[in-house]
Amino acid sequence: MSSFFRVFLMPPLISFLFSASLFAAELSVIVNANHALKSATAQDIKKLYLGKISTLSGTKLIPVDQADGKPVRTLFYDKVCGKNPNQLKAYWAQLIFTGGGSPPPVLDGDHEVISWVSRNENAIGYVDARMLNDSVKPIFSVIIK
Amino acid sequence: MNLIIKNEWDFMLIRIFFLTVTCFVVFNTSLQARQLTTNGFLTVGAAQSDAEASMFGIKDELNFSALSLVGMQTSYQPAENRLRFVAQLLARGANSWELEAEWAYANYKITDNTQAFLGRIRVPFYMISEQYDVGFAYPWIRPPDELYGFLNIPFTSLDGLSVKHQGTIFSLDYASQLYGGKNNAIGLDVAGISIPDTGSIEIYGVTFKVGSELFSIRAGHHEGKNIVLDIIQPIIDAFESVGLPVTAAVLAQDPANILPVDNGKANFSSIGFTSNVGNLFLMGEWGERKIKQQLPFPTTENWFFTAGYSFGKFVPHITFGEYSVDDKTLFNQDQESITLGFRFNATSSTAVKFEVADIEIDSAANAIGLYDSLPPNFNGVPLNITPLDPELTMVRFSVNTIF
Repeated sequence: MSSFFRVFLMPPLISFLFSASLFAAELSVIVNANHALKSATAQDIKKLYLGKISTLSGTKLIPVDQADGKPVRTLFYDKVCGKNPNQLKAYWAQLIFTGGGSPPPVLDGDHEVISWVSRNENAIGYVDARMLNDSVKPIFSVIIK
Repeated sequence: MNLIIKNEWDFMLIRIFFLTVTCFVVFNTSLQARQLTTNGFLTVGAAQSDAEASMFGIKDELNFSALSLVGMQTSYQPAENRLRFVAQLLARGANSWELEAEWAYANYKITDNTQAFLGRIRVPFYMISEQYDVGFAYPWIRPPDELYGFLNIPFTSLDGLSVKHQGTIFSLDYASQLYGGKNNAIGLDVAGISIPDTGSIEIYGVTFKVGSELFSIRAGHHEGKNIVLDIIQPIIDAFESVGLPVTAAVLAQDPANILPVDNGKANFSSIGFTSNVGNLFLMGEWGERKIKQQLPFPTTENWFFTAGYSFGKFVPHITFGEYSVDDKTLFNQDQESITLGFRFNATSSTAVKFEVADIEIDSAANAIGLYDSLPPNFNGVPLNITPLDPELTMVRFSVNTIF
């Protein structure tokens, strides 16, 4: 029994603890520092990222995405949009091939996203909260316990 | 794979497509990736049933073409522009890999919530009609045949105009569509006789969808008019081939009276819902096809209901479907099916699917269900055809990917 525990249960348990600590970081949804928006709800952000709306409080917001497979992206779509990577692909497949729109453009990493959002007044992005600086403004956070 | 191009209009669209892509590749290498995008989808499928006669092109030998297809879409959007050009080419194994332009349109964003489409678009008959070929987008190997099958509505696209509008009302999402146009290349399967490019229809309609992810409802109404079908000669030939020369001769003498096929009218109504509660999902849809004026096709009423549950990557589901016709005197197409299946999400862009369907047709002497066949008995005269099993089991497998 104890060897069963060691062989079969310990590795997943260890990897679970490790992944939990890796994901303990906070995720921030950011807009340009000069943007009027002060905060947003998860529901608003979800609708922006799924292409259902393109303005918030009367101002235009153009989302940018992180690359497929990045932990911050998986976390964002799981916690904010309630979709796993497969569901997200199926959602966009429905739209892309039926004239219904296309997913947000992808930028390469937190640095790129912050730099893009700081230079574009109507941009919205999401990054690992530890990477934040004054050039962008956080409007929503995801905290993983 | 042999690519055969279906008709001149398709040929022209396909030429424009390749010309456009070539131009961009040759002259515009500096274009941002954002402006020119190419996406595709692929289904590799296998199917077999235990019946000697074929249904949906599938019978008691392993078939790799009935479910297989490949689609490529290229879209070009000049930077910061409201205008976008999209072309989608499709080759289906069931159609001898003939290359078809399923979508080819200019899309103009009138406002953030309203868009117009001019060109070739898919007719939005039912909930999943527009994404019918994109297997990755739904749980089954293909949407339920009772509603989405070719026998119910024998064409998929139109050349015309469509306006889509979406928005939010009382915190519910809604989407509506208004369209009109013409299809000039209806292909028919009349009781097992395949008649390609046989007619035309003018069609217009409206759809409306409202709800949330938890529950949403969609209704549609479509009107077809000036339906012209050129099916007399193939049907005369078919009657002769199955041992009904007298019927064939009578029909040949006075076709317009016996089988009037001009100036037909039809309408299509449907209502459906989708619901997602946690990992459970439910879907159902009902549709009615009414052929008014003369055309020799009965009114059909059909529906399906699906329930499924996501256990992580493994998504088992069950589907009930029914197809029924009001006039069962010539052909009795009544059919019911129960399908058990699963979708396994192998990667974020590939799904593997498996289904077993139990299909039952009516017990009447002239029952054909949705078999690709003439009835075993026509006006009391037995026909010389492959016997139709009243109940059959069909096994289907597919790999669906998008890229």
